Amino acid sequence: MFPYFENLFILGSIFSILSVSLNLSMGWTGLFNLGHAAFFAIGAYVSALLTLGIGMPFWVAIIAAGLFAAVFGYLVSIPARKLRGDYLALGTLGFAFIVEAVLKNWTDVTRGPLGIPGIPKPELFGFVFSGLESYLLLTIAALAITIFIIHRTVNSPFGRVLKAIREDETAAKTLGKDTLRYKSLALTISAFFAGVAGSLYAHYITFIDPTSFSFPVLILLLSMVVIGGTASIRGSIAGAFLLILLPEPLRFIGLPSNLIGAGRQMIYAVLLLLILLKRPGGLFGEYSWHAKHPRTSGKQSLPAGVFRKKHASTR
Amino acid sequence: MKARTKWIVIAVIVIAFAGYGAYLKTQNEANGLQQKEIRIGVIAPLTGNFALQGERIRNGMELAREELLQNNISIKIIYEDACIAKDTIPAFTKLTESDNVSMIGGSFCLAGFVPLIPMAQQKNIIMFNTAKNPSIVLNKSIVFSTNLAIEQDSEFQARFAADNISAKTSVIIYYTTPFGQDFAKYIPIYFEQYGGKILSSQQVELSATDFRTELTKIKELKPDVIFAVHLSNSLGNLIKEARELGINSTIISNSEAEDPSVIAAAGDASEGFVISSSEPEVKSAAAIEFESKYKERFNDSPNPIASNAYDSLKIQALVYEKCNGLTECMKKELHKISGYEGASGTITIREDGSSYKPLLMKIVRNGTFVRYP
Repeated sequence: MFPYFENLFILGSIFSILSVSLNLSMGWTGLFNLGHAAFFAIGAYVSALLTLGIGMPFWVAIIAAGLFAAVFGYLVSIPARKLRGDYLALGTLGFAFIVEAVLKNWTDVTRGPLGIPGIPKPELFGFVFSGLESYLLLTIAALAITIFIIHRTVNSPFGRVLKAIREDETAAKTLGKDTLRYKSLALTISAFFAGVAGSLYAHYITFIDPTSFSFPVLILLLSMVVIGGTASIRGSIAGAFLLILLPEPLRFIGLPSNLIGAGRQMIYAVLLLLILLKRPGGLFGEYSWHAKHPRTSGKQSLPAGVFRKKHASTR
Repeated sequence: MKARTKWIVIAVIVIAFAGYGAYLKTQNEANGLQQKEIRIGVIAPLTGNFALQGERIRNGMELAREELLQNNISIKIIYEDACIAKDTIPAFTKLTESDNVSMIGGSFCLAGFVPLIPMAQQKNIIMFNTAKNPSIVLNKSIVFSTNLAIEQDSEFQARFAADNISAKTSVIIYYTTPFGQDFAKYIPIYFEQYGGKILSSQQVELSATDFRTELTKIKELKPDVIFAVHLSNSLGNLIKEARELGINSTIISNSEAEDPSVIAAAGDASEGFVISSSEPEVKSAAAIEFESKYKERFNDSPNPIASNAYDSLKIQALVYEKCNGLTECMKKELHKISGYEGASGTITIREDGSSYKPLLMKIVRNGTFVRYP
């Protein structure tokens, strides 16, 4: 395999973990979570600091990264769980900005804008995952574990409650479900995998700084979920790989030097728009924001912001 | 198979084949043309926050490429628009694996440049940094630059403030990047070494255009000097707002502030603004020629980023020709460069990979940067 493609598949796998985990809170539970990039950052920094600072093995650090992110996910869920829709989005976005500010300003620990260089590659029984092939296998294994756990989660009774919360929280409450607890757990699990992805990212890139997790990364993650399709594991993976791979063929288009940057971005944007026009509910979306994208004029529309099952008759 | 699944599978196959076809095409091109031309990869921010700097990098390199072509040295520059690690790493692997470039130049964003260093060390590919060099990129064996180390510029500004304008107190306002952070580290060290005192350090965002909050705090401190670390229009705004708030302290910045857009944004407030500059006491013929050609070609005045990008490509071509593209030889030749009369100043490449250039101070008088008296 070519290193060029291996690198893309490593990034694709890491971002797939992120989009699958974001989909758990956003797609299955209906929580408009804009704090995911912050959990990603927490995982990356925790893992980097533990391995560099106290020489902790990568395998312990990656779990610690996930757990730290999960703790923050839970903490964010406490004030945020009574919020819905736009308010929840603003609350989690605020958290993301706080994390970014802390990373930039707590220079004694994070080195601020200087970033953390020289993050070691993972090692197992003396084997160092320094080659692209070995790192690709590691990220694919992590992605497989993530898919397995999320798949089991959303198809369990717990997952069905999450879907019920998304469809109608009040109805779920009347059935005796502690929806606040379920929402907290969904956000916590989602944050855990974002932290794991952060650890994989930090040990692959070997350098992290606050800009690696800033607002454009959040937009990228949201785009992956929306384009891939909400509440769909394969959609999340397709969205992540599509957004990582799509810009690549454009690198080979021989545009004049003064058009390279803007030209490629315009083509990229047009391709994304075409995909969304062709599949407004995402590539594999199980659900779509029907009120915002009514499919047929004859159907009864739902109130704004309410998810509606697509192809209900086929399920 | 469902229609949508078919559609997705077809799209993925088309993308994969298009990418692979293009990959093979460029690799064939690379193999075929290897003997005829020097292939240089450029990873620069052509869009986004640093697009203006990216454009100047491209302008400087294009000018150098055209001049080299007139001397029968053919260079193919392959540009990649990238700034952060997520984008620079694929760009780097594409340039080195598919395009078979001999060297990488034009780099500007440190967040994207630093992660490439271990990869370049592993592949033994020389990389040139266009921006001023923080300590994090120095002594890396494959990293070179025609630009200064931030420490050298910081020391010069601090000494000037203490000795020439007898400043006793100062504040520093800088943006939160490794570049700004390194100035914030070294200026206080040297300013205090020369007998001055730093009253406050104010951080601002790279994307900031309004600095009134920080400047209001600074006004209360009444410093003799403000060391300002920012770029282009934002720096111009900072100067303008400082004067509007009635701050009369001397504002000093680094040599990358020798930028027409700073004066344009600050307007009359730029009068008295002081910067360090690597321009030689007597401008070299190369510098004069570069300036006039740049103005003619791009209808704009060059700034130090453009002139450093221009010098980088010229030096890369020079060592490539001498060594026939052999990396170890090119490294040795780069370290031998001393007193090179470039467009950006008189360049001597140091052991750590950055360049030493004699500095002087400039001040804005009648809307132009002139030598400080």
